[in-house]
Amino acid sequence: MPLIVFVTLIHLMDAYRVFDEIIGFDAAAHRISLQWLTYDFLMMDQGGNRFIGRASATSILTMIGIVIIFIPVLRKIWKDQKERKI
Amino acid sequence: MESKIFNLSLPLKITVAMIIGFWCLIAVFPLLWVLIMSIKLPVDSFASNPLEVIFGPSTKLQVGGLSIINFLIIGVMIYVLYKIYQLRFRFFNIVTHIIKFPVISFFINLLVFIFIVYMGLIIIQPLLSESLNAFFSNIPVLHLIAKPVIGFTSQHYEAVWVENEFYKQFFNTVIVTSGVVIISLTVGTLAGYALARTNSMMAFWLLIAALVFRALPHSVLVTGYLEPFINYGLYGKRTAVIILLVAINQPFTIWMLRSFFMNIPQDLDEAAQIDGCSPFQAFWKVIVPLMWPGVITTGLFSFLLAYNDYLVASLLLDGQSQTMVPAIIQYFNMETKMTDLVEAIAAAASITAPLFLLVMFFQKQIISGLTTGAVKG
Repeated sequence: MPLIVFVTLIHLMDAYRVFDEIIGFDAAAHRISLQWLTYDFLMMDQGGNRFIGRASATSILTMIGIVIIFIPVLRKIWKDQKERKI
Repeated sequence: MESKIFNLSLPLKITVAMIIGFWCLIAVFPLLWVLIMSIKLPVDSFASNPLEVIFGPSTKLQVGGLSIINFLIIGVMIYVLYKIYQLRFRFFNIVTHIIKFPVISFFINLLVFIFIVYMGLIIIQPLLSESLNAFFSNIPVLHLIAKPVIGFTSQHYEAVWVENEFYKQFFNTVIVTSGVVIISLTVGTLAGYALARTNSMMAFWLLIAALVFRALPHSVLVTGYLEPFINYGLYGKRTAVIILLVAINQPFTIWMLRSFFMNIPQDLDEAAQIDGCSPFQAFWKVIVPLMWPGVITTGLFSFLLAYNDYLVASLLLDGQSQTMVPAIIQYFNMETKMTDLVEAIAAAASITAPLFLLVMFFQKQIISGLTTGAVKG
């Protein structure tokens, strides 16, 4: 796999967990990301509650997405390692 | 002598110029605009006419401004400071003769330079230009150069740093970032060295795990840590943020340092051990001195992560123990009048200054580190 694909995948992962931009531009009304959702559940609401259970659920969803994007990268590393062994 | 390769054809030159111009427009221009807005009264900062934002007529009327003399003196000051900055290696050598630790003398060097910049630009420059302005304004023709050209007020910076006690947030950031950098570099160099010198399968799986952790969103880690932190009383303390940021940053640090160590041939450690070094001595006395560019580059990346972090700090800290970036976002959110917004802009402009200083002081190592390493964030 050429390097450019690798770099693209890394950037894809970074884009997948976009967060700062949503906070910075107050864009939560239009677009939210899974990471933002987790953050929102973790922040105290007006009653002083934190929804840690819901936050965990969204975290797991995010992680599943990351792993799916990640499979090609892992395969490349695995192949490189095998070649080096031989 | 110029090589033929760099003789570009005219259309190519125009394209390159256009791309660079476009980059300046989207990257440099907003920064400059923020800087200009932060030194104006709110009336001018949010004027619809861009020329009014730049020249600030109401600021000039109400507070005063910078005349041509001011600009000349600032220019001279910057030139003098640049000359002092060029002497930094000589000064560093003198200090290293007295104190034997290069790290400590480096920080002394940095602090002295910051002090000189502060004295020059914040204390001497206004006094000098004020007296010169007063002197020239009485002379018939020359009073024109003492007339304010651009409106200028430092009141927002004063409000942010003195009245709103922004320096507390600054110290929190200093503590958090230095903690993160020190811990992640210590662990990272040791782990990276070990992982670069082994062929075992476990090391490979450790590296894969590190890569997966590098890819995880930061909020996942916070979710896991939040409950224990609240139960054991770490919530709201800076230690909690340091622990989490190190956990987030460590995989990346290890990967990067490992790739730097891979570039150093193994024969070097063997030679050192034949000459009678223990393995740790070989690491400390032979390999680490060769690694400085890599260590500094990696340290800079962890510094940037800790410095720019919003998510972790805003979830785990509040009020007095808050770091700078979340504090600025709070400024933007609590805005009730125009002044608050300009103060937020002034705060945002002032957090870029430490970054400039750091890059200036490390520029040599950063460039050599960026060009020799294999993994770049």
